[in-house]
Amino acid sequence: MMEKEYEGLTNPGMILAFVSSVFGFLSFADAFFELPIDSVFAMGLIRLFLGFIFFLAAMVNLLKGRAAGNLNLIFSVCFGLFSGSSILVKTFQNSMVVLEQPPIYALLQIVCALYLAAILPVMKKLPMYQWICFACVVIGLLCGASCEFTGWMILKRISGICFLIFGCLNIYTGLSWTIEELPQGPLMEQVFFKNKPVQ
Amino acid sequence: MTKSARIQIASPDGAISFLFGVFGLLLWYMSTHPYTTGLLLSVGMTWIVLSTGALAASLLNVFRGKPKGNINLLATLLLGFFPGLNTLVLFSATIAGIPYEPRIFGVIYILGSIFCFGVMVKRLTKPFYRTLSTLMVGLGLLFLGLGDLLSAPVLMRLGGWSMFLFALLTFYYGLSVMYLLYGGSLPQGPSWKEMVKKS
Repeated sequence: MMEKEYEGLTNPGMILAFVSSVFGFLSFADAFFELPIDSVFAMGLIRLFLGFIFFLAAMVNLLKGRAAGNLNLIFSVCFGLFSGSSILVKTFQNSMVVLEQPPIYALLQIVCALYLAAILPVMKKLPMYQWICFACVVIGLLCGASCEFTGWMILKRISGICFLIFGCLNIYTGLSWTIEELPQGPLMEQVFFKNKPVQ
Repeated sequence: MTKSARIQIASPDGAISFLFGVFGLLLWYMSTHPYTTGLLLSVGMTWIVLSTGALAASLLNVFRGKPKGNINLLATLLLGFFPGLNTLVLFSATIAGIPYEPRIFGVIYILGSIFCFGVMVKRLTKPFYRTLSTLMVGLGLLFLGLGDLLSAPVLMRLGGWSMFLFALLTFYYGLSVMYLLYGGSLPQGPSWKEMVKKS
């Protein structure tokens, strides 16, 4: 990413990594454990509030002139605001017995995953572990949404594992913002485009 | 200092195009599928949540001094907040057993479509797919508005499918912007005027 950054605003990278890791671990817990209804409700609230913080951080990134703000904004809506509200609606539907939950959320998750997947090839200037982080989100979203349509629990488990990796890698990303000495590893283009000089 | 801060703001078009694409898909889904109360609640919540993201991104374009900020705000209202609120109120009315068929939304959609056609004329010099995307959203709003006013399901379906095409073209535009921000590029094709000149 070659963009010029506005220095008057603090980089929100650490808080973004923290919130992302929470999203990752919440998705992992949802995929692997039968959570009671009050925990699911709390998860919806947490996602909603963290989504709001993520949303503000995305705005700061855009104001700083960072292209990553676009991805942050999509993440904040899909993982936080949208996912949180969907979980809350599901909880209310279970208690109010409105009608069955339609697969519209799964459909939107697939759209989000495909959109992010299409961006992946151009993100070759990222460190490899951050690229894997994004790839895990794409696979996690695709598998989670496919489980809604097919009912295959194995897909939900794969989604949970992907989100666990996503959460762990985000902890490392967050720590990298505070401990600058932490090694970042090779860039994607250094690994897969060895013949081309790295700028 | 204010000027330099404005210049530094990153383009939110990658995120905003994703959100508008999702709005298009939601309008297509709602106008071509039968709905239940569960669907109304879920889609209404989703719509409002996504609209807040689109509103913030549109305002960023306004702060950047881009004329398209106005168009983004118009689209946020017409494709996001109005249908979202309408869906949530329809859900409440269905639960309460109150008849709710507000044809006034049809008038707003038709007015919006006139503005969209105006924007389309301005976009004749842009790549053809962007002109087509604006034409599709204009036609979609026109058909949805007429379908609403005349209670004609066929027109509603036509509007829905126009919105579906708009969604696909908008996703492509969003990806093009993201590729550009990360140093890549996607083929854009000729503009409508160039195509006319060639023929």
